[in-house]
Amino acid sequence: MPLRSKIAIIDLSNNKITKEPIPERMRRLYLGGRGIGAHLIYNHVEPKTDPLGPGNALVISAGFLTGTVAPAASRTHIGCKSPLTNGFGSSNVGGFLGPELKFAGFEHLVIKGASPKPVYLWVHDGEIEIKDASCLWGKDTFETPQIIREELDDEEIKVACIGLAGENLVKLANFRTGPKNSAGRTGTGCIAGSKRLKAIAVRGHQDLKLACPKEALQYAKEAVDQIMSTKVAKAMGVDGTSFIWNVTNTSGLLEFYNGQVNKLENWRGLTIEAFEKYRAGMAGCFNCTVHCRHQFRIQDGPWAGTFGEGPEYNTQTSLGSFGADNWETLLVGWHLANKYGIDTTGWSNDVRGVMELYQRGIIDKEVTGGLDLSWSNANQLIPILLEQTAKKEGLGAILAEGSLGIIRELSKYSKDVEYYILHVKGLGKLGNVDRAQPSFALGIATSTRGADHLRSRPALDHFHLPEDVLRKLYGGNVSSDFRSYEGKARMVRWHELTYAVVDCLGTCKFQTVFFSPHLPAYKEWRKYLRYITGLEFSEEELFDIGERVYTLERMFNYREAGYTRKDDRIPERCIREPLKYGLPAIKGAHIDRKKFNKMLDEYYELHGWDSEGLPLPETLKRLELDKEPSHLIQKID
Amino acid sequence: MRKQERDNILRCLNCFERMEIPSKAKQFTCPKCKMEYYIGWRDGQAKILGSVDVDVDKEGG
Repeated sequence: MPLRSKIAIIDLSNNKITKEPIPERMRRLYLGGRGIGAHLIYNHVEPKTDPLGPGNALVISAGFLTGTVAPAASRTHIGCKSPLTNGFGSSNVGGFLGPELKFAGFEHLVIKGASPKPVYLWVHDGEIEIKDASCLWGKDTFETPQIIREELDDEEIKVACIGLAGENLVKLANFRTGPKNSAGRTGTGCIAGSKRLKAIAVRGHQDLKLACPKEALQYAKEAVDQIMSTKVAKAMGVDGTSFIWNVTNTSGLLEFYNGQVNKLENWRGLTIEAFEKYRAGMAGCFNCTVHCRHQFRIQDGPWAGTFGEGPEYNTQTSLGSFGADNWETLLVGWHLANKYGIDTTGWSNDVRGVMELYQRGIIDKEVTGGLDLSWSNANQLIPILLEQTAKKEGLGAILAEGSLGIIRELSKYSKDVEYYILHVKGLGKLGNVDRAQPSFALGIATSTRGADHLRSRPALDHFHLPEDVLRKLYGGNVSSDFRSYEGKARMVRWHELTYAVVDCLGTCKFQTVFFSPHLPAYKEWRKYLRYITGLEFSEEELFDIGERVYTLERMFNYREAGYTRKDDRIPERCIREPLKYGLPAIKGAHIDRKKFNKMLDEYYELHGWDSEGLPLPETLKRLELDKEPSHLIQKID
Repeated sequence: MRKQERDNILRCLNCFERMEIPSKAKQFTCPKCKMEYYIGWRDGQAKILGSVDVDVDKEGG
């Protein structure tokens, strides 16, 4: 049963492996996935440890429902203390790794210590072995899985691995789990590299016995029908998440040249329609009926024959924000970032910032190693800078340190450097507009992993839903105007707690209320849990779990990095510079500092936090967090 | 099961008015705010490709 999956604690310093069951009480408080993962990170990361030291822990967590019949239950959460933010490192990834981990009998792997030599983990049917990875060190993320499959003689082995960037301790390094799938954000690949952990290989044959198999299958069918009846699922099945790009670009909700402008003349080369000549098919993650993963092939030119999966909307907005005017530049950049194992979102954000420093004459060719960082050179610069970053060569040695490292290194040239490197808590932001929508701005400001759209972004805010519908959904008054501040603290809190629940369950966020009020949410999740696990949860209990997880992550950020209200900020550009272009409803928009602060006060109050954003004692007690750390750890072995 | 929205109905991105797009139309003007859009079609589903007359950055940077 899903309830029998175990936690394995692997200490790479002394090759010790212990296995523990997951107590039901832990389930009731944290469900699984990101929730139990957060609890394990809070308890296993040594307080105030150097993120790159052996005191850090890398925690791989499959969702509670991952690997079961629940639609799109494919997700895995990877967490640690982040080398970029010094706070909660957290990244969510689809594909097939998490389900295989469950079939192998495990839900969470807690990887501690550091190995003196390169190793990989071989996880199979209840067993875990630490194997030599000397011959894998230096291999890219496409070669590594294939070599492991050949060595272990099983083509069905699922592999998560790091590339050159992770090995070289590039802080933007990701953990890759498939042709398209990356646990991209917060530098999880860098932490794997610091532990000399090249890969995790998983194969399992154990059944996940369901509590009520007949009802579970029947309900899964109903849920799939529900999902596939929405327009958004149809659009994603055809255009992937890139279906969003035309809408945001048309509106003027994409940032180019580091947020200096929000609409380009040459936009037609980056539409999903222009992608057609590269399209090679669509693929899906485990148990997904939508299939939003593009496959592409470059047919001619110097990169002819390059094949891969993706890209997504995120890649379009990130690698497409330098002023590149064609898909080939994006696809080559995407391919190389994947090969080296680099987060395209954070990397693109930082490169945009450095290019603006060059544009403004704050840095010159002496700093860039002779490179001309003019925006018009974007097509040529992307491959060069990705390689330099992975190898920490030339300008790449500075880019490899992430937003905070770049600010530290380049502030000697001007005190204005921090203004142009856009980040929140050290994490670079997606290349879309956050200053026209107060809810989006609040979301990136308060996200527990730094600037990010997948922590709490209320995409529904752009749907202009009737206010009675919003009141019913959010439990209070919320304006249907995305430019309004009214009720948006309530809206953001609801979404961040709801997405936390989704990440605990391990289903795909894009097949939930993220994109449409008609997609599954609490009512449906209760049924999944009942039929699949046999556990009953009320909607309120699930919401409380989301709040518990979010608050625990907040506590971790305070413990490790001292993050408080001063850090719940947005880049100054979002406040000082109104948008220059876009539809009449967008043009001129910017965030009002006073109204933003009032919204932040409301947000803290709804959470039960004080004016500095720290949980009040009664809030910790209500959420049963007053005894963290270690109140649930039960040493079994 | 809820009633499905027709594939030729789009919302204006500027004023959120529902717009019923005639089959195979390549451009459409919002009846309420007069914003004009380029329209594309895939599998019978209409989608907005871009706006016709909105300021853009022509210089870069």
